[in-house]
Amino acid sequence: MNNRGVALILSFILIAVLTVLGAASLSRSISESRIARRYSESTQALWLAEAGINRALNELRDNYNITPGSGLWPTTMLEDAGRYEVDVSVIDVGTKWLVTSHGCIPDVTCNSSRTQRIIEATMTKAVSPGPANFFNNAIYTPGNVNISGSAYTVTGDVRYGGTITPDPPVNPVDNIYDTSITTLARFDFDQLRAMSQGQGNYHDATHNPPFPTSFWKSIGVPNIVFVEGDFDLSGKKEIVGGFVIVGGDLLYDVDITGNAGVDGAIYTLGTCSVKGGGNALFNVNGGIWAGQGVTITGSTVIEYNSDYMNAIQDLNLIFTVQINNWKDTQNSYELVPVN
Amino acid sequence: MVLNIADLNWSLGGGLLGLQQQVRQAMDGMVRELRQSRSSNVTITGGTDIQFSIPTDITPVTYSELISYYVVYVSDEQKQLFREHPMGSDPPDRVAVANDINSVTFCWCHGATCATCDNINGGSNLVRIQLVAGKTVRQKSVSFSLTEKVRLRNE
Repeated sequence: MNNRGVALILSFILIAVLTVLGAASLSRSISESRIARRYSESTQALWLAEAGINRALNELRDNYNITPGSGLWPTTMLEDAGRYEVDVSVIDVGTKWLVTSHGCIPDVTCNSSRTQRIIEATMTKAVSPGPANFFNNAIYTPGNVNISGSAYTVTGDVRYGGTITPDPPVNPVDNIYDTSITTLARFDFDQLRAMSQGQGNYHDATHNPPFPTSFWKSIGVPNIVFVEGDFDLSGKKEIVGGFVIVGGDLLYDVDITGNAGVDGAIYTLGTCSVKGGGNALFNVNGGIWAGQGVTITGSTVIEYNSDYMNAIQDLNLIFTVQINNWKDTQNSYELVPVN
Repeated sequence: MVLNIADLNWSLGGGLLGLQQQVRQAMDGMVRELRQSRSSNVTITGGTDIQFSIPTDITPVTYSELISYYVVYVSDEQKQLFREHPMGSDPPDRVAVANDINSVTFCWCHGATCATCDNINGGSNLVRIQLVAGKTVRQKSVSFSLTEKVRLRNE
């Protein structure tokens, strides 16, 4: 039997197998590399789009009569690696806008970009003196109202955009489900800070100086108490008087426990928890605005005070532009195709 | 001997890489969905099950039916992270988004309900997610965990 040439054939077969293996490995490497790049660029584009949303928010705060349009404020970022562009359209003149922000990689016009993420947001601005029914309630929140037990007393309307638990409450309260409250209208906190500082009622994180004990600073003028941080009156037999603003643009919480109370109104973008447990006449005598919901426990007493609320309303405070709804337009389990 | 050790390490490395990919993809999907939720729509049950809804439209705003994430232990070899949507259907309308998930924990400070959360500000609108994955590769266990904090964009 003549075996000459077998080595050559075997060599060809071996080379062919190695070539196929090499090609497969190379193909997989390229594929993995593209997936990684796609993921990276998609993430970068999202943050660019976020930057565009923040840009639009600040532009609208500076001038809420801006001319709407497409491709506004094209800005290069990420060391020239990408950009954002923003479309603004008016929903309600001077009070509500639809903002569409495009984050784009690379730094070319977004229509011709390789990777794009789009965020949509509605932005609103309440008109002074405030949204409808803003000053008419014992409790006003876009979140949930949770009530424990049956020893509480709430005098005045409880207006909420989330849920109330239990529903109906054990003790009857004037609870009003209001679908128009999607977020808590924001005051111009710089204005309130300045007013508070002018009255000597501004409190930084150390909570100095002492809080006022009366709602009224002088006849017809409320104390404006601005607190930077959580407002915690738990375990204190303390009555704080005035219009108490907690945290400003940041989300801080209010915690009132036992005999402590506020003779006035409270405003926080965070939560408000009131746990009455003593024999105080009230825990809140005025009203509560809370962006993230209200919790009532124990023998809490909350009363609406129209004199106080009217005095706050009469200040004609300025409201500012805020993000009302936010949406990532891309399916969460898909990546943007890359060419 | 050397080849055996190299082969074992190759297998362990491959196993760990697979785990990392599973966990990162699942985390990314969860974070991207959860980011769009709003605080009053989020419920965490027992720290291991989260339910929330996200906007389907914003002009006017409408929210989706509830979405839920949780881990199901079928066996030691089959521990999957599921996404159920809409939540509560019978049988469950769910898909596995990651395999080999030992645990998922959710932590969210909302007012007084902050017992298991460390280093999260009560009012910061943050949800913390921790995914722990593990499996056995050639009688050796490999594991990987990932923690992320998400700020809810819709207050």
